[in-house]
Amino acid sequence: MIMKKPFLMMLVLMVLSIAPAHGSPHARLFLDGVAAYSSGEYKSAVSAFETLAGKGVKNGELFYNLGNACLKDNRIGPALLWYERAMTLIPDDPDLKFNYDYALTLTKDEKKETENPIVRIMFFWKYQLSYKTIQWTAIALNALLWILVSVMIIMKKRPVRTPVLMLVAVAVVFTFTALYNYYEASNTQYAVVLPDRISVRSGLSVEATELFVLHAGTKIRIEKEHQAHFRIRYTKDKIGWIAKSDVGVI
Amino acid sequence: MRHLIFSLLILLCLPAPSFAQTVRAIVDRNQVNPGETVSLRVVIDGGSGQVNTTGIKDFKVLSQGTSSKTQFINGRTTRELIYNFALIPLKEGSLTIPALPVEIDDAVFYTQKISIKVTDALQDDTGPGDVFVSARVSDQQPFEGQQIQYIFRFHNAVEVANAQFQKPDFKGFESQELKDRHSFRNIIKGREYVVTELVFILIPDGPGKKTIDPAVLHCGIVQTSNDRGSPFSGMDTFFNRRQVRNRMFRTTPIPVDVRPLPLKKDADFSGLVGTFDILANMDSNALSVGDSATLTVTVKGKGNIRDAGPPAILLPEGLKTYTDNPEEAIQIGREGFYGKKVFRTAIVPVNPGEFVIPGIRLTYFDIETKAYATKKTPPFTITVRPSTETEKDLDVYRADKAGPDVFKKEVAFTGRDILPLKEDLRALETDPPLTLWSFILYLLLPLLGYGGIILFYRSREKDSNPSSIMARRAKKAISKARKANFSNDVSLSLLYKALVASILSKAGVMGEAITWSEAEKQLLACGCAAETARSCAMLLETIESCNYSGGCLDHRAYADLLKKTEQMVKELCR
Repeated sequence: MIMKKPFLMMLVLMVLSIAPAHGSPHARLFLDGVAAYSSGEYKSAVSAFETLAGKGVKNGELFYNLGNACLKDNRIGPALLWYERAMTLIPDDPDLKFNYDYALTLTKDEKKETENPIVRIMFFWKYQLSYKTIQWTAIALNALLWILVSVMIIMKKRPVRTPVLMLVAVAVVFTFTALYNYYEASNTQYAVVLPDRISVRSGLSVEATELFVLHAGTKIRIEKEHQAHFRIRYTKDKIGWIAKSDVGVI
Repeated sequence: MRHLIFSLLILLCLPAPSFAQTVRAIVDRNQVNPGETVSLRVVIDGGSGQVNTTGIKDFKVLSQGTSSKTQFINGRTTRELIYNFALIPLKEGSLTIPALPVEIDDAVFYTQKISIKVTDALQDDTGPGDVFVSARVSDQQPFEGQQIQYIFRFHNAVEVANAQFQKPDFKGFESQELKDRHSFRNIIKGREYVVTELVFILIPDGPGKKTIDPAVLHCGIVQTSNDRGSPFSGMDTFFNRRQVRNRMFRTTPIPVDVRPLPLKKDADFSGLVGTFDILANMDSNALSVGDSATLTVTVKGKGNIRDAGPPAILLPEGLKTYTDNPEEAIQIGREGFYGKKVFRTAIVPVNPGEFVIPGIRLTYFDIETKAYATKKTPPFTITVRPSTETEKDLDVYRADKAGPDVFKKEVAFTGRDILPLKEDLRALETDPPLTLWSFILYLLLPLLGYGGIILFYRSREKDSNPSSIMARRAKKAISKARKANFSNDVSLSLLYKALVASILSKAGVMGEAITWSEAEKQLLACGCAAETARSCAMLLETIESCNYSGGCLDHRAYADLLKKTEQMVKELCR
């Protein structure tokens, strides 16, 4: 009997130590956001999800949820911004594609293709796969290639040309695509218009001539930055200056 | 005096500058829609000045620069300075541009007050202006189920750009737009218009008073150079610059009173409204028990043909039926839906005898006569012979599939919404892509591994090579000989061993001993220079002699022998 008590205590302590936690703060906040969304409190849902994103959680599904909450809250600009951010992480998610396409129908400006459609077809994997997938595919193919060559040399067999060449070609393609993605990420920035309507001007001041108008949700390319302004490009012939606060950088 | 008069005459002949200074404010229009801009020009005649627009509270003021105009007319010089502004209304209603103060040479002049009406009451189809829209329906009192046309027309007598059409919701109607949009020219009150026509076929859901909301058209009206006061406006065409003024046009709502169908419906009313006909055909009238014949019933006409269901076929006992899926050949035209539906039924007699299939009735509501009408096919008589086969299960024969391609309806959205949230806690995992240097490192790791494997493999190969093994032995022996006592016999053995190992290493063979003559031959055989082979053989003979003769070497002689052996080993093991 005396022996049983300490044994029981130890057992209880063991159980408690392996019992699952009730949820980290992030998990609680996330679930609060989901509950708020379900009950129609979209502003609260946006706030909860944005807090998580602000704390450094970088996840395509979280960004998708933010896009949904903003869209339900009738904020097209922020919704599309979050969808665009999610697209960089999970571009092949069908739910995201559906909601993104739907959100695009709510924008007022005609969507202009910023890239050549032939390029999009020829390099389809760049647009279908996430950055991470391309990187790891390149690494895996490289590793496979070198392992294969090593094995063949050790076994004193001449490498069979066609399969090895094909593997080399695919590995090179994915490696260069991954490297190009790095280059593009550091040299090209896109943004999404946030307010319902903004004026794109010829200069930095409010008095400068209004060149054209853009509406919420329109995707633009940032060409240059100067103090509190961006020089942006919408199409080849539509370039101008806007305030940084009017857009969200993807 | 004459000088004075002459001077006065000269002065009079000179062009007299105009010193009259007036200011005026001009707008391009007095009525705008919310979101549109008003162009304001403040013209200062005869001087330059500063315009103060701070008093304008009902608009957001955007400066668009200044321009000036100088004219010489009948010896008079007039000069105008024009300030251009774009005004964006901040609210709807009756707004005011107050009298604007203009400071000219320490004096203040005022423009006149201008009223601007900002209203959502758009230009509607009361036309005709340069551009107007109209809409009508073919029948404002249709019957329930009757198809009517909604015809929208866009008239423009001037060039327009970026036209965007927003169709009405058509609440209470099923609608389908005709894909072909029709354009033609029309003259109205002496002006020629290009008319673009869009037609929708509408079918009311049920009876009652309904209203078709206005259709809206957004477009930009291209402004010609006559519209602008700039002296350089004529150059705009040359430089292909056009100003486009965005406008919105809306039709008036159209009330439609959908009448219910008359109460006294026929008992077998098919639900069809329009003009229809029914045909029937049997492919065989003489059968045996168990054989099948196909009864083909075709309902055709115009109206809500898509809603046509299989007509009731009253069959006598003794006949089994198997119904096939109906085939449709339905099109849509300016008058609405038209076409046919074909219903095939396989009839299999189970008993012999004569059977009469009564005529098949189709009762529909005729739009033209505004009354129910019934069409009927003639009856069919089938003669069934007894079967020659023993009774067995009847095979089911499906009616032949034949006929034109089926007209499929496009699946359209009936509502739009987004897909739900992702509620899995996986959404909290942060797994960002690799940094550039991490990526390069991971790429290089397999390459380094490959290099390591190859080096290891090659070194192993080298180790198993007889030449390498013997070279290592030679170096080891010479190293020991260097350390050994010169007067010790072991040291001469070591020298011998080192030299023999180096000779065999050069030859690429394993071994322990070799004579001096064999050594020379081996070295010559593996391409060594004759002089080197000879020197090596002589050195070997000397070492052998010293070693086996037992003679004591002095220190100097041993050192010399050691040095020569080292040189020879180095040369042969290179």
